Amino acid sequence: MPGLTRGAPAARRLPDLDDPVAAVAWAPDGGRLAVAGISGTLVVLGQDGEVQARVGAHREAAVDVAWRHDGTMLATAGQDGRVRVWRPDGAPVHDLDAGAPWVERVAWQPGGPALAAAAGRVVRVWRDGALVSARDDHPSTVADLCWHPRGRRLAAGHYGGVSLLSLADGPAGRLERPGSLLRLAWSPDGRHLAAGAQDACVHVWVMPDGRDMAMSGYATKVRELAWDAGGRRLATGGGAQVTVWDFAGRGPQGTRPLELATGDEAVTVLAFAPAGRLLAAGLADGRVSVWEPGRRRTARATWSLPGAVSALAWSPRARAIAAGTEDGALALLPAGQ
Amino acid sequence: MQHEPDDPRVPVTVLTGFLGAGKTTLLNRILTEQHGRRIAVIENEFGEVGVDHELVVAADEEVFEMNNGCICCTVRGDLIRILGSLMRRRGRFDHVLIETTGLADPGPVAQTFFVDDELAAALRLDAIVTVVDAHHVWRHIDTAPEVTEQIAFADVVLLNKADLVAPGDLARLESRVRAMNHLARVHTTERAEVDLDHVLGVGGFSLARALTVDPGFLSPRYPFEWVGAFSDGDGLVARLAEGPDPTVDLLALPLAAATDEALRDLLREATLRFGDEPLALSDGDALRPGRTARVAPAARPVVVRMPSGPVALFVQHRPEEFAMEVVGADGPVSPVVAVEFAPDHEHDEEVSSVGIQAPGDLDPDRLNAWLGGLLAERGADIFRSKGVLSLSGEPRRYVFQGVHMLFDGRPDRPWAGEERANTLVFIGRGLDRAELEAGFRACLA
Repeated sequence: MPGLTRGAPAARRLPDLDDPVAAVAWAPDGGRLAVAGISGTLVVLGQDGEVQARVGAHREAAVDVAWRHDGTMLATAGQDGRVRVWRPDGAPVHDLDAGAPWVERVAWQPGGPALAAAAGRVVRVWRDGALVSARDDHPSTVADLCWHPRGRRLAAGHYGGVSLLSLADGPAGRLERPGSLLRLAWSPDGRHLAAGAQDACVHVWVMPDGRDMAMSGYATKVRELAWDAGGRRLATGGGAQVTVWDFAGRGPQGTRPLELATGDEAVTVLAFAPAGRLLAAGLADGRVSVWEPGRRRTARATWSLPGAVSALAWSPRARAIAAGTEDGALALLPAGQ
Repeated sequence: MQHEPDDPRVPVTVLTGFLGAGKTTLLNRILTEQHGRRIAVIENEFGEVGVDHELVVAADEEVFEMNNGCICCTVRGDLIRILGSLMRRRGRFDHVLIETTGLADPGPVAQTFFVDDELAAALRLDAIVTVVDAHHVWRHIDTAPEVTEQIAFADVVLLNKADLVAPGDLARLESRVRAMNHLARVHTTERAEVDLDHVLGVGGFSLARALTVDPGFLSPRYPFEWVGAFSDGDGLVARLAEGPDPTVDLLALPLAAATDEALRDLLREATLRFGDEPLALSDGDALRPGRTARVAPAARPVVVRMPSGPVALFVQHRPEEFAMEVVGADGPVSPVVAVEFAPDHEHDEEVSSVGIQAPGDLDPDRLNAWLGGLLAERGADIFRSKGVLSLSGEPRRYVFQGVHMLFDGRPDRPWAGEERANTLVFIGRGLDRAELEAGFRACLA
């Protein structure tokens, strides 16, 4: 059972997936939660935690799940080379060939109908199941995809930089950067594109001109990135603490980042609430802590789950966090203000 | 089978070998034989695992440079991603096999397990197993650097297709392989038939496993290749012409008698003196007894005068390489006795192993400076290094291993009932035994 370490409301355990959790995603209205599991399962849970759909979505591991902006469909990505689109009740809509054996990421266009996926060196974009764009000329495997918050451009991170794709005009340039980029995050205001790198650093490009800055000194590679709702704070992992950079004014150059201690446990996932200022961090020992960066240096609340935290998602109105672990545990954490 | 007693990490075996050597045959043999292991296979893009194996992943061999200040550090980005993802399914397998393409450099594969903390925490590199086509390797061994690197990196070498090769050729190949990589265990196979305990669970990268090197390999080698005894050096000069190396080191030592025994008595002292900084001599200068000198014969030969009295002249290289002559008033003088020593290395560019074994304690600071500097400067040419060392003030053995510039070392068990001694082995290209021995010797406390 989930433990409770601080004076926070109790976590509510959801049905165990019996499968390491790869990704969780809330439907835009907060009424459903989709969970992708490593054995290829997609589970859709209702508001009361009841299982509304459970399908064998992929023959190999499922690695990602994402809802369309209107909540009418969701997509899963699998290591069987497929992107599959589903109705919320689990009825299949499309079964798409991603172009390479392992799909890394699937991402719906913000506010739009386009669905993008990265697999190997290939990035494909579909609209209503029809391929509208395919690029297979990336210099290496595309490790992550990220849409501009207004959905006009798509960023693909790989070894040596970021390739930009405009849905209307095709290739839209490349942001060069030595090293292997692992994770991308576009700030909600579209002004900054952040990338976590294998070389234990974070790059941030100021958009649209592409001026860049690098933050180094992390203990490990950085795969954990999260922007706050206003696009002011960037939370980063890369080791056993959370480092928060403040982009207000002339920052973050010349400023000291905020460092939030995790008790020597590696950060595995970060998520800022979609409204307000709360930041959730999942750790390798199964704890989920919630901070209020800039207000308090200590965590507001901490829950403990069995297994390393592998997925976190705030509900759309920032009332609760869905958390999944590598041991297959799922829980709803009442973290809202 | 040998186990890592308390290591919960999943072992990884890397299969390398030139195209057609028999990698896929070995891979399929491992997968089909009953051995109680559940194996996840990462095969190369041309791989063809022939059995219906449930966990096979194709890799693209994406070699990434790391930009963290380590100049020659490259890793396999595809392995970081694939293994990171596979480890989420760790309940399904207990061993990982990585098959590389025939032209792959094993360096980045091995370095991946040193550099990526996440992988290092979950997986341990067990061994690099290199399959060699004993029949066809002669076509490539001198021309394809991939072949020599794959042999140099190996913990286990299979000389496969041995049935197609005459016994004499097989013995020649085996001795060639051992000269290149003296740490590897070499097995002769037909159709890749080998006891699986020889390829899985080898512990080639285990620090806990003591370095095992056969004594012949560590028998003394000298930093000189020739010594000649002269009954009186008075009036004699040594003349050296341009040779394959830009310089030659010479040492004259006073000799009790011009005999073979007297020469051998001087070997230890001569070895020590060759470790000193040599004194540069010009044409016409005199050799000082007991002082190592360096001459640089070029288009013009260099002539140096010998000290008087019975003298032994130690020469770094074989005299004929520099057309060396010892000349007196009446013309060339032959030594009364001359001894040749096995050369340190066949040729500078070749891949070889250098082993050093010496009793005594090492000064930790000097060792750190020497080994750190050596790997930083020469790491690109040093494929593997291993050692068990005796540090002054440390009751435990210090064990280390390296892959190129990356280094991993720590104290392990206490010295118990054995002489405290140092054993080091370097495998690399163009290794200079004398330089390595001198550097090591300077670390003795």
